[in-house]
Amino acid sequence: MTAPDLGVILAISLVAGAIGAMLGLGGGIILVPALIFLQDVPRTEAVAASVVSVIATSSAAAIAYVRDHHADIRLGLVLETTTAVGAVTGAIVAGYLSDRFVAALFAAMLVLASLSLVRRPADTSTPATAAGAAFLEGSCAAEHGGGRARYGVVRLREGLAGGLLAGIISAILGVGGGLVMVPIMVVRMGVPMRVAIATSALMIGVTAVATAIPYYAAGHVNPHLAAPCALGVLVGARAGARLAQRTRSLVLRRAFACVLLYTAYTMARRAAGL
Amino acid sequence: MAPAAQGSHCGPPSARADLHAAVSLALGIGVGASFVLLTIAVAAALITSGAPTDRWPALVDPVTGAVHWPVAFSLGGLLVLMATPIVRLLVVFVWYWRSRERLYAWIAAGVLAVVLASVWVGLRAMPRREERLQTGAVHVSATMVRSR
Repeated sequence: MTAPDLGVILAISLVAGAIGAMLGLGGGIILVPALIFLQDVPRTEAVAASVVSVIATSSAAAIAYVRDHHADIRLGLVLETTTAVGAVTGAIVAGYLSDRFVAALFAAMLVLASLSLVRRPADTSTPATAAGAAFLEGSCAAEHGGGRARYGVVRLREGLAGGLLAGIISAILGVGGGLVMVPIMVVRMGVPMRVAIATSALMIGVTAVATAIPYYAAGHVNPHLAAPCALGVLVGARAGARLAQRTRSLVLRRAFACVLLYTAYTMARRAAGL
Repeated sequence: MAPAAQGSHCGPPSARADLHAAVSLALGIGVGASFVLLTIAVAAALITSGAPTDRWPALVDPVTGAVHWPVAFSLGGLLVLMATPIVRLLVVFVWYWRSRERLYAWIAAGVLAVVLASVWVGLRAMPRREERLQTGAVHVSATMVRSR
């Protein structure tokens, strides 16, 4: 890799890391298409480099999220049981799927996820007092008026099923499981947006490492590519995490939906062979 | 459905602060160490790369047997990065075990077991890079060819 290539990859990774950390996505959603389309990198190596970068995004963002008690560690741990299994499954399946099939599937999923975010009100969290069947309870900084608001986590089975899907998608596409987990936690499980993003950032690291290890063992992690990607994403993620804590939930939802739709468009073009 | 369990923000404030502080510290150390190693690796690559065909070398020179330190730092940084979430899981496991919250300790152990199983998957079940190259399943660009 020459110096100019290195500079471009560092720049792409910086942007990907910042956006990924702000939205709880991981940087892969931007990094994988950019590496493939702008740098002509083979898909498996782009995905492998992205997965390593997603670990960087997750870990860097989670430092602040956990320290400031935004992330729900227990909820993340429970959901990791299926995201990790999904990641290993996806790593096996990934080598046998065609690019066009994967792109089409991903585009459809992204459109559905972005629509579900835009159509729902900003605060769908379940108050702890009303959540009689809640598996977990927690609290987070209130959106209005200061103090802390309590919430209950409901529909755990749906969350676990979503975690499995998130792990598979993460492994196949090299993106963070937040693509699936943030909407599911917010819309179906009654978790406040801010907590969902923070918990997703914490979880994504484990999902990505369950994907990265098979890729590494199979020789798909190219250190010449993965090192600048991981470094750029690390730096960008720190800035993104700070920005996310100053941004309101509704703004994050709309930004998240826009990113999903743009990625769907990119993937649909690829699936159509354009 | 199980009865509501205490979330990470419930329970004795000092205990939950301990867990959050320990997890944050583990992540911080891992990220910090990998950041230093990767920065050295990328800086060395930027300084030493020359003509367009002058690519990063392999870890060990096949002729002289010399170790190429930029590549060594790069690999070291990546491995530390990949180990960070595993260490975080270990911290969570130990904390819940010592707190006698066995349910969450076993959940952490289960996740760790799945992560360890992924090594086997990579070595056995996943198509290796060389196999994919031989069967034409991998598109190798001109850039990547020049890099070898």
